Amino acid sequence: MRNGSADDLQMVCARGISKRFGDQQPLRGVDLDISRGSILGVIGPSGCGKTTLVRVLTGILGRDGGELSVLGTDPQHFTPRHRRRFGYMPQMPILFPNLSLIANLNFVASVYGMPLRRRKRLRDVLQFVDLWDHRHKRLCEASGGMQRRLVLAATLVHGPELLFLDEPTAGIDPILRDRFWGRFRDLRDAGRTLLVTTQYVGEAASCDLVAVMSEGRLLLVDSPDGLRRRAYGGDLLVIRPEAGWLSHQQLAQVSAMPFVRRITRRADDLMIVVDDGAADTAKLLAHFSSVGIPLQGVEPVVPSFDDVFVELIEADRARRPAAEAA
Amino acid sequence: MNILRRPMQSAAFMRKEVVDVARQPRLLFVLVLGPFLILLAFGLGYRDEPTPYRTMFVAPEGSPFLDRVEEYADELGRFVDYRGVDTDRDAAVDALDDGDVDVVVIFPDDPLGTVLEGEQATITVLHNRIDPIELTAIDFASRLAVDNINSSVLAGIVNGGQELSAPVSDLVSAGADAALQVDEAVAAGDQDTASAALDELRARVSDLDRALGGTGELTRQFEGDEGPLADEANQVRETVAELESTVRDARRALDDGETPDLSRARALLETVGTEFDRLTNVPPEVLVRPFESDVDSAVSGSRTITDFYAPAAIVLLLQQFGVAFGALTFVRERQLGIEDLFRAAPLRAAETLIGKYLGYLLLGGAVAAVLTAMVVTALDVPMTGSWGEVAIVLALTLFASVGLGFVISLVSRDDTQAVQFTMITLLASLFFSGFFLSLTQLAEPARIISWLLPATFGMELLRDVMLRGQELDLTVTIGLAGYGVAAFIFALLGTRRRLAAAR
Repeated sequence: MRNGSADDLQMVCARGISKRFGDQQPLRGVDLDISRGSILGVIGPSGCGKTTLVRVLTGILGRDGGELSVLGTDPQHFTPRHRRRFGYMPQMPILFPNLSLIANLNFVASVYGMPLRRRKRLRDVLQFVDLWDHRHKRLCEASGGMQRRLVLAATLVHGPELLFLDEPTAGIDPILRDRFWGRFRDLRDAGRTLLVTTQYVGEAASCDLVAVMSEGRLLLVDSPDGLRRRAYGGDLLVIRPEAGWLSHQQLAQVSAMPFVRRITRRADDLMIVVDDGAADTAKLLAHFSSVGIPLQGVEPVVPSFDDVFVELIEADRARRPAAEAA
Repeated sequence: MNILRRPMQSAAFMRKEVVDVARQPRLLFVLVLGPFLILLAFGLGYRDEPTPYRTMFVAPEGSPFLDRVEEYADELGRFVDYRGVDTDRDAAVDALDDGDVDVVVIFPDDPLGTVLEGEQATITVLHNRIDPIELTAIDFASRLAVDNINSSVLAGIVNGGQELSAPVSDLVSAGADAALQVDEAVAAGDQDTASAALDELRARVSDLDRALGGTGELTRQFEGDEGPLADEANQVRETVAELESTVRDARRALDDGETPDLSRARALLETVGTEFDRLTNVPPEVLVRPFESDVDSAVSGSRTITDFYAPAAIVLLLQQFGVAFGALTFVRERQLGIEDLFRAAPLRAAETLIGKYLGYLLLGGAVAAVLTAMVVTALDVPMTGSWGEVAIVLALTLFASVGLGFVISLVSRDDTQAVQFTMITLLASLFFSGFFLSLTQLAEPARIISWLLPATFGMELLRDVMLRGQELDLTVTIGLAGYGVAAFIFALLGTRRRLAAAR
């Protein structure tokens, strides 16, 4: 593993990292790369190892195996200088209840050794999370959403280049979640690198890359679109015959076409997985026309990430016994 | 900028702790006014006199005590609230069981018979108290009462003895009469009468000599063989010896048919009478109890119970302030989830710990200053020592207590456990720090527990400075400072371990 400057594109490089707590193994040989200026979303069910991964990457936890470089350094050898370069938003911190929002932020700024003339920075960060008008409110009097926004502000206050956000949107309403993701994209556009874990699979759409975790394994890392394709093996099309159904012979003819991966018969239509949705739609239309089957239409389908996620997890679970047996 | 980074981190923790507490006015109110009001209530409510026990006496029919118990009870008025005398022991015990009286004193059936058999007669004291301090008081009062009764009996015996023996003045008077008879008989030429009168004079002089022997024993008990009383006794002894010699000369003169001169003997008899009376006319009550106590403190000024407990209360409050806040600080951060934030941040253990120390020292110092000022001005507790030394004691007590609190916090799993440890520290302090009981009343191994508590050092030092006006005891001061430093080192190691990456 290289141990050089992190001024290149690679902010995080992990190879085969693993972690064990007694009988539990929350990380099993995780490989991961995060490039500068991107958002990597880590999705997975509760207990799949997302938080452990973040804690290992930030150096809070040591690891049992594998090689790891964050900002060009092994996290277990982080110095205060390295720690000032990244920000970490833990899953459930609420800071100090009796302090005002700005006093809490000021405290974190001091912990990160920010200059004493920092008022403008505090204002900018509080405005960024829409808390400037509430800055004198005590944390215990602030709403749950405000508290999460303050913790995000505390993560950003020292201007880190790499952000580890552990389930930042957990337990907050969809409107605020959307606003959070807007802020994440703003940060990404400003050149920051973000690793965001989430249980909300739909949030994967806002990421540049999505890593899917299950039972301590990183199943795959891909773009949101790539994830969909990998979940189903290609693009999804829905075909609605005017008759409402196709005979076995007609179905067999469609299945035999080289670009068709899978056909699923549904109530009034067929869902077909093809190699390339755009190119293959024309070929299918031509085929049905040539065999004289009138169609109501052929439409591409964009499956929800919930469906994609379920598909991926189930495929992994189906594949694993065979792989383990082999 | 880099130079300021670490002090700034410490200052952040200090400010955070101060603001955190300052934002809780009710807590501040309790911290400052609470102990003051408790001390005030204690000072006003404490009775400086022992509560007399409602006492019933039991003596058998015909006992001489029946007529005298009330007199005894009066003499023990501080301890005894006289509730009557009865001859029925069972009735008195029933009254005790019913809570009508606190103590029953039972005189023996035949005290004289027992004493004449060479044994001490027992006066039985029954009570129903369970408080060890009250038991000690009852035991003490009983011994005092029995001592009073013994003295009273002894005084009676001495008085009787004094009445039986001829008073010195009678001896002197009889001697003077005999001398006069000698002179008259010689003048009348009555040789036989003169001789008999001279024998009478010799006999009285011998009586005086014997009485003088007893008095010499008394003076030896008080002064040994030297001292003003012994000198006076010696002088009387010399006068009596001269008197004896003068009477012997008179006998020889009379036997030789000469006229004896007894003018010198009469003068000596008068001198002996004067000197002897001074030595032997001691009231029997004084003779059987020649000493009484007059307790006075070598420390200037008087001390009330509030004065005594005020410095200890200040120290105990400061210890609990430091221990409680220190004990909760790390566990609270862990429970709030902030600890992970700190572990990922560019923080070192020393900055965190120093900041927290400064915060609590500042807060505790303010509380101590206000409380001490209130105690001295409003409760009029004496401040005979130096304010500077008081400040040193309070600062060191706080330093050590906060350190102990941090150690507790670092070994506690959660706030419940931290609070339990804090309560145990308080309980141990009440019993072992010298707050209620002097350390001298504790066995040596138990004193180890005492010196594990910062309050023990603080109380000893603050009482000496405030109430005795003494300078700081160097050993105890260094001990307290050493305690604080040791706790700081433990806390630093614990904090470092906590902030380090978990393996």
